[in-house]
This record gives sequence, C-alpha cells and structure tokens, in this order.
Amino acid sequence: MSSPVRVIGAGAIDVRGVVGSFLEPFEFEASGPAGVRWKDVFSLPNPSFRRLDLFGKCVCLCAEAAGAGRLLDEKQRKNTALVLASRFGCLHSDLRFAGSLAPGERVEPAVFPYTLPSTCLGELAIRHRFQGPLLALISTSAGEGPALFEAQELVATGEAAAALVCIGDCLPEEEAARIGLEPRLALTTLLLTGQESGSPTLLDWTRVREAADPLGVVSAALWGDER
Amino acid sequence: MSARFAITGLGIVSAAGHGIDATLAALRSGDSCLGALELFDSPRCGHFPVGEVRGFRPERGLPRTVGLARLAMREALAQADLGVLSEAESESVGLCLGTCVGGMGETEPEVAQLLHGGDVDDEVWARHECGATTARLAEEFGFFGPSMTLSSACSSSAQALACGTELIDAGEASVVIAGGVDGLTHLTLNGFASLLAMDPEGCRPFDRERAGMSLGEGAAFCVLESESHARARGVQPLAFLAGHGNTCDAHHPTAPEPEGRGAEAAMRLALARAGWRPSEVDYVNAHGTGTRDNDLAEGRALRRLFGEALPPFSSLKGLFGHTLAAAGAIEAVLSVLALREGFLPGNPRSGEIDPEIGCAPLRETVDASPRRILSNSFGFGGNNTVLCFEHAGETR
Repeated sequence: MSSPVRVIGAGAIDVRGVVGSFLEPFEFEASGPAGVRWKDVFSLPNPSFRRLDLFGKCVCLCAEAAGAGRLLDEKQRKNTALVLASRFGCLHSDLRFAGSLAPGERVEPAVFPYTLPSTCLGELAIRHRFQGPLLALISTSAGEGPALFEAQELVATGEAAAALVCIGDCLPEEEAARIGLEPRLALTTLLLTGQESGSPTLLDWTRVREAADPLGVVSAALWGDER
Repeated sequence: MSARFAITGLGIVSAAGHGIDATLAALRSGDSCLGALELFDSPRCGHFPVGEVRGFRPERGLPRTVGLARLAMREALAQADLGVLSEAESESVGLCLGTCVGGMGETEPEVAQLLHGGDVDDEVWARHECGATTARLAEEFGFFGPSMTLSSACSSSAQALACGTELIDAGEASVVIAGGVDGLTHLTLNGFASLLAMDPEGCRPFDRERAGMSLGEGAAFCVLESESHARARGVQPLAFLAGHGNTCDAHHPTAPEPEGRGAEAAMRLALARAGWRPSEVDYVNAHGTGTRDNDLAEGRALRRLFGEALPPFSSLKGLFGHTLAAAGAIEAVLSVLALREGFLPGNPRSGEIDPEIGCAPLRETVDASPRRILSNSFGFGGNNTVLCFEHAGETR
C-alpha cells in the first residue's frame, strides 16, 4: 500500500550549520545560530527575524531551508499545518524571562510570548500565511513519534493540504553549561503533502517513519553523511 | 461529516472546587470564584484576583500540576468505569495532555537560584519540563498506549481532545484520556501582567469596561472512545465530541486577527465536520478572556457566522479565571455538563454591552435543553481550536 503522504522538502540544523533541500550547507561561525542573520543565509532581508528568540530563529531557518516559502502555492498555504515537537524548546526564553523577574531587574515583556512554543509557530505562519492547524508538542517521553503521527494524519485525512513538521531542540553549549544540561542543537524539518501534490518526492515517507532514528535519516540525507 | 466520539467520563478541579458537584454548584450560582492570590507571594502581581484552587496542597515532592491532574483524572476514570485496567487494556489506553507550565510551579525557586550561580538538584529539569507531567501520569495510571503532550498555549487541552479522537480514529488507541492541567506560577502571572493583559478588578469578558484577563488554575479530563467501544463495555456515553476545527490566524504572534477571521474559519470547520448547520447550535462557550482584543475579535466572528440567529453565548473565565492550557478541557467538561444537566451557563461579571462588539453574552445561568454546543479556545501564535459537543440522545 502506498504511503498517504510524501516528503517534498526537508531542512536540518546542527552544530555545523543549516542545510536543506533548498539550501546548500551554511556553516555557523563560533557563535552558532545566535550570531546568524537571515540575510547571510538566504541573501534576502527578513525584518521580523530579529525579534525572534533563539529557538524561533532556528525553527524559521530550518523551515525556510526545507522550502517552506517556495514549494506551496497560495491555496495550499491557506491550509498548511504546522507541527512542532521539542523537549526544551522555550527554555532559553523561560530563563531569560525568569531572570528578568529577579528583584532589581527590569521585567522584559517582549520575551514572555516566546516562553510558549506556539508563538514561534505563529511567527512562521505569519511569514508564509500558513492558516491551517497549528500544534506544539513536547517530545520528552515519546520522541518524535507523536509529531510525525500528527503531521501524517493531518495530511492523510485531508484536514490539511500540507504539513510542516519541525522536531528538535536548540540549546547552545554556553547556556546548557550554565544550567547543567547537555547541549542540544539538532532540529529537523519535513514538508509533507498528499500524493496528489505536484511537487516531486524528496524522501520516502515510509522509510523515514519506519527508521529507528527517523530524524537521523533525514539529517544524513541532507548533509550527505555516511551512515 | 466525520466520526463522532463518545465521552464516557469527566473529571474536574478548579477554583470552584474538586469534582462535578462543586463545579455544578458554582455554575448554577454564577458566583465568581476569583479571589486573592494565596499560593505564593508576588510583590508585583499579588493584587490581581486569581482563580486559585483553595485548600489543595500536593504531597511533598509532587508537582502541583500532577496533583491537580491526578484528582481530575481519578474522577473521570471512575465515571467511565475504568478504575482497574488489565494489561491488555492498559496498552490500548492513550493519554493526551495539554499543559504549558508542567512542573514549573515547583522548580521556579530552584531556577532562580541557578540563574544566580547557585547549585541545584540535578533532576530539576526533569521535573520542570511539561512532558514529565504526562509521563508521570501515564505511568501512575497505567496508560501504556500512545501519549502526547500539547503545549499550544491556551488551545492546548482543546487540541488534546482533538488529538485523542485522531488516535482512536487511526486505531492507535481504543480509549484516550484527554484533558489539561496548569497551575499558577510566577512566570505566567508576571508574564501576562507585563503585557498589561490582566484586569486588576478581575476579568469581565465581553463587558464594555473589560480590562484584561484573570489567571486561574485547574485540571479537567474527558474519557474518549468510539461509540461502539463504549457500548461494548456496557458504558453509556455522557455526550459526544462530534467535530473539531483548528486554524491559525497568521496575523500576529500574540494578538488575534481583529476581525476574528481565523476564529470564524475554525468554527466553520468544526461545524462542517460535525455535520451541523449554524442554526442548529444551541449555545457557544466563548473563549472570552476579557482582553479588549480577544473579545472584540471573537464577537465579530460570532456575529458573522451566526448573523441574526446568534445563539446564547458566554465565557466562564469570569467564574474560574483563565486556566491557560487547561481551559479548553475545563470548558469541555462544562459544556458536557450543560448538555446533561439542561442549562446554559451565564457570564458572571459581565455588565454593560460593548457597542463595538455589538452582541451581549448570556448574563445568568438559565434552565434550557441544549443539544449542540460549540466551545472555542484560542491561543498565542494565533491558533484557534473549536470543539463541537452533542447531547448523548442525538442519533446519526
């Protein structure tokens, strides 16, 4: 039986940089993703990029690298779902906002919205006019499974014409060390459509879903890693 | 029309108290449960009224969210006759939980210590994160089917119910416990206050003088299963979840699209999936946060969708406060209670009509016989989730 969905775009971020089906590898400098400007990567301005928190920046970079802005027509965008799964997605903003609440500190209202993972999806939706379902999941115990399931179901049942699923974390070394966590910089984005979509298939969905490490399969394909 | 799903158990804890009876009493009286913050000291925000769960102290080491969720979940499971699960049953029972604060209520002091260079317990992050709440509840109750944690701001638990139906529909689970929990925290209280989104007088949804929201806390769960599965177990449905709609405004990271077009689209989608015409809706449980922007946009969406035949609507956030990720599930339980007990809940604390909104909520709880209810939940990121609840006596 053929898969109900197809992967038409993919993007990945890790310590090396950002890569995607619509982006040649762009290597980060020593400051990692925090120092990246949109224009450096995509050669075009994006005024709203600066206001994003670090996680939101990584999500938007990874989505763009997957072809979020190029592969879908206007009708599809109006019903494109966004599915995010992360373990520590907003921790960077949580800590920054919590720090601003300390006695003598100045509260930072602009940071608070980014303590909620759906906010960065909203930013992505605004950029590309995605108006379908928007779901933010936490991936602690069940790994990437629920996010992949949701994205597949949304497209397969016709609830969405396409789904952009973004899975992973962006916790740079310096911050991780400060709070006693292992650094994690690994984010993978897949753009899914139904079988009837005109775009060519990039990766076999069944192979991705059935892999022991689905995100590793995608990342390896994009970076050209030997596995 | 999509499949409908039986709701066979309900559980709730909120500022109104623990359990269905306490909740019904609060709904019938229409007295607001908002009051002074007692849970912790808050130099900046202590003056804002909140919907706090009084008299509840979780056992030592247990996150408040886990404790609250546990109370509501036990009640829902008992009503659904799922008190003791066999091994085989356990593997087909899923859990979909909406939460935004997770264990943050307990870890905030440690996080503050950490940010000032102090040492803390290595396990602090394992207790902090939202997914740990789900994992702990699933393990404690023996739900070994699929589990999901939704953290889509104030739509989280409405989405948890929608995702629960998808798991059942796809054959991934035969029963799903779906709901949400959030507790009051420094971060959320200060966060919304910093956005000037809190009303010092307590929230007054849809009122002309409304000035913001009031935070609340609580937990609520629904037991979901297919109608045939419920009947095979000998359990009568309490009501049906007949459809859902989920859209994104794609307008602003935090503010709703001013005309409420995304909200309207979500309501239309939900109605289409339920196979209902707008004229068949007997009551709308509005998101109604009490902020100027939300209530205006939602009012406009309701007026466009229903036109002259706008059914009674109200927001219950003046009663319980805005319980964030738990709100959708709490209002799902309240909607099912309205269907079962035969009433339409009023909108406490609403006074003068806002001419800009152009429609008024139901002010007082009234006896009625609703058959179909829409429940709205909207959140940061511009997401809109709408659920359709149908009376158990409705046939298809």
